[in-house]
Amino acid sequence: MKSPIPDRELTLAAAIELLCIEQHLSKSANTPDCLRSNQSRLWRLLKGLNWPSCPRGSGVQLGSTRLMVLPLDSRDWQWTAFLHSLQRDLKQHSFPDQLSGALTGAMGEMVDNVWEHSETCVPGLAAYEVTHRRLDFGVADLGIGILRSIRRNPNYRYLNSSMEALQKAVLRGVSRLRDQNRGYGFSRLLQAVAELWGFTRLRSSEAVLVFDRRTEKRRRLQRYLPPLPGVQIAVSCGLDAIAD
Amino acid sequence: MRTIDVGKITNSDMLIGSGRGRSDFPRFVEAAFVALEPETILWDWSNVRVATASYFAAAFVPVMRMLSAAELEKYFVLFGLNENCKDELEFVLETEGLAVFFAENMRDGRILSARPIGKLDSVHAQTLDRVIRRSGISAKRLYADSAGGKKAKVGKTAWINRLVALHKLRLITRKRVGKEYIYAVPYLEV
Repeated sequence: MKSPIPDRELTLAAAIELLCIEQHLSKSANTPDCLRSNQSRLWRLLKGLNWPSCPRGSGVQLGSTRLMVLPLDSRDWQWTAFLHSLQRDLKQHSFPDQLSGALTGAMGEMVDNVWEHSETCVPGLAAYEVTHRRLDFGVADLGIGILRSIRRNPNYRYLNSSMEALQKAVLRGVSRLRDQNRGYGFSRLLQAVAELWGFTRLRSSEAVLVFDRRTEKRRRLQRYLPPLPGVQIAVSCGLDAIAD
Repeated sequence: MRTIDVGKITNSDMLIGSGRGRSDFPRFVEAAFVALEPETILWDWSNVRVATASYFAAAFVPVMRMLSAAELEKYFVLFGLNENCKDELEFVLETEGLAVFFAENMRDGRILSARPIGKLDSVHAQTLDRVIRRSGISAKRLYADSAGGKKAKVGKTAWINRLVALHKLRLITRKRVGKEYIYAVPYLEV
């Protein structure tokens, strides 16, 4: 099977998306070049984790790269420890307190979405890598996906495609639940990443939405891939972009 | 004035997500409404490292809404929020059309200065500013001050409406003295 992820987007988050694809198709994918070379140890570690059969809360660490199989809920001490380690690593790489708080919160929000909306017993995955004043993180699940989730809200029952659902979900105040005080997660994530001129990639089923501020020209791309259950999120941002 | 340590009641320094917020909401209610007498509650967030907009919206904002909905004479002042937490809270308050006092300067458990954060239009912000500068003021006095012996631009009824709106947001206290109400900020003794 050819890797369905373009090489230039390969990151830690892409690696966990690849794990999702393998799990979905119940067979091994061809290891992409990028993972074969500099991240091969990481890829072997991820594969060695034996997700999703492994216990919830288990994880792997390689340098400043950490991956966790999500526990049952946010009160789990292992999850809190994971967030603490993210904050600590960001601080070590000179991220200011306010930014490290915003990014830790943004990642936590994406994981909270897995617990709140994925509706699957297959545990989700969260991973981050802090290197050279850069943060890459990914969150992935194999749940019902954004379209099915958001259509639970009668106001959005008219949505027909995952792309439409993704575009709606990133707006402030949009949620599958009708009660007030909802729908802050994605908008805060995008804001935090945009402030660092970063890159956010959201995938649900066949739809991919990319917010790329790494170049002068802001880009918002839509792309279509073979359907994959759940939601997969990749974020990449760094301090050097704002220093320039 | 009673202080509530948010880190202690939630038993965490990472307050993230609406799911967590919903499960913590009863803890905030229990802490705030343990007694129903009028009081000012100082919410101490200094032991919280990360709190997100979704969390505030699910755990704290509903408690704020309960104050005016149930006409409870309780007033909230927040302190110890780090810059990121404050930013997240302000984002929610502006979206929800609410405001709350944030203590900027404290000594020996006393608030030396505080400012409102959240959504407050300029008219109400100016009125609140006038109340902050006094240790207790009535609509009649505000009217007299603004008129300054000439014909006032803002009528007495308008001042009353502004003060009532600020009281409804639980940004100022109200005490009946004789025939009129005296309004004051909740962190100063009148």
